[in-house]
Amino acid sequence: MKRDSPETVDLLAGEYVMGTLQGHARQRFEAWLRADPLLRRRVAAWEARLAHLTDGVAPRQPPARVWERIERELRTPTLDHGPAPKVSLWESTRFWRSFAMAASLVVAVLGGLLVVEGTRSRDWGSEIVLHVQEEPEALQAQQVVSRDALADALSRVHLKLTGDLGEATFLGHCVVGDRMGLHFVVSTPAGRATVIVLPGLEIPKRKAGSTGGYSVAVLPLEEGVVGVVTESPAALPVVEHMVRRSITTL
Amino acid sequence: VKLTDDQEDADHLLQASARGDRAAFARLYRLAAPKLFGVLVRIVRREDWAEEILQEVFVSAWQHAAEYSASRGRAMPWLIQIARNRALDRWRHARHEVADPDADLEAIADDAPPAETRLAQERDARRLHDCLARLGARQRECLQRAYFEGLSHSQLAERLEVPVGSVKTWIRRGMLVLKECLES
Repeated sequence: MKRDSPETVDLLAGEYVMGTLQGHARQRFEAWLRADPLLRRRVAAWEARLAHLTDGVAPRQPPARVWERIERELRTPTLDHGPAPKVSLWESTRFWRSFAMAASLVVAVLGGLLVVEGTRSRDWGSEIVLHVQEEPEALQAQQVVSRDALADALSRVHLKLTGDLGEATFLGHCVVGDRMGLHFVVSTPAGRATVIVLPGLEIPKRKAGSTGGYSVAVLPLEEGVVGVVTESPAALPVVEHMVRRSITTL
Repeated sequence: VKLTDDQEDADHLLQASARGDRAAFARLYRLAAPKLFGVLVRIVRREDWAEEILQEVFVSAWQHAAEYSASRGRAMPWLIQIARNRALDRWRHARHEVADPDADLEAIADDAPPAETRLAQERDARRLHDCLARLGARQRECLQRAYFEGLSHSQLAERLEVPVGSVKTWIRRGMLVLKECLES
């Protein structure tokens, strides 16, 4: 990658936005992008240029129900706090207050059987993988997440970090399906893996499989589920074992 | 690139949304949703999916509006890129659910005005048409399929039955022509 050639850099930025820059080259570019504000401006410029390719697409009025659904979703306790704050979500008491209220409401209002019956039939493995696909930046992130921060986040979903899960490189909240949960990425000897904790769900037994280029296992907890997602099928049992060994219910 | 009034409005409305202004966010939806919905239908070829993704895009825009204000360019390209990325993800994830994508596309295309009429009526579309006219037909197709179908160089080469090297050259040349033309 010729970083000293502005033309080459600019074309790479264009190919990145277009999506034709792939594989290791794309990963290297994204690492560079995180560190270079000028490169981010080049990318934004290409987003604007390539958006002109949609100029020939005729606008279509979406049905009114779409806005109604958006309004309804924005009114839910989990999203009603408005646009994301610029402070770290994990430092935000408002987030945790909302989270706790939402979780309490779900448990108190829906309770036992209704929740169980409503969630057992869903394919949570696919939902979790879909979320991983929709948030690709989480797998690329290079956050420094301390063990204390991860332990604290887990304790808020009634879990205890008891072993070594490896270095966490991303920690955030997530909405999977209609459930709010905890999303973190760990760097393990078997490669990077995504772990998603969804409190308040109940599944009868472990489920595992592959979908969308990922391997996923969904494990039952006492009051929730843990989803483990890896890119390689061989890595899944390794990471799953680490998770089982390192996380326990409070 | 000369900005249209709509783009400037979208910038202001998204910035206001970042401050928690719900009314501004509703106006942003009214302004941007038809364009985004058209793009989404063009990519996923199913209106029900396009509706779901449009909903996701605006919920995400509300949640991440502050990030836009801090670090991004114009609002409409930002929203279009979010919509495109999500649509391509959905399309890659579940394209097997569409039995006959080409048939769907034709059916959807039939609902729209004829391409020639649309191009004559819409200034932006006319400019794009003029820019793309500088490319050969295969190069134009290559660029548009990469954008709307999210295909890799090798996938494009396979579908267009040309060497990968030709695809790479066409994409790069197409992007350079687009850049030069739009900024002239």
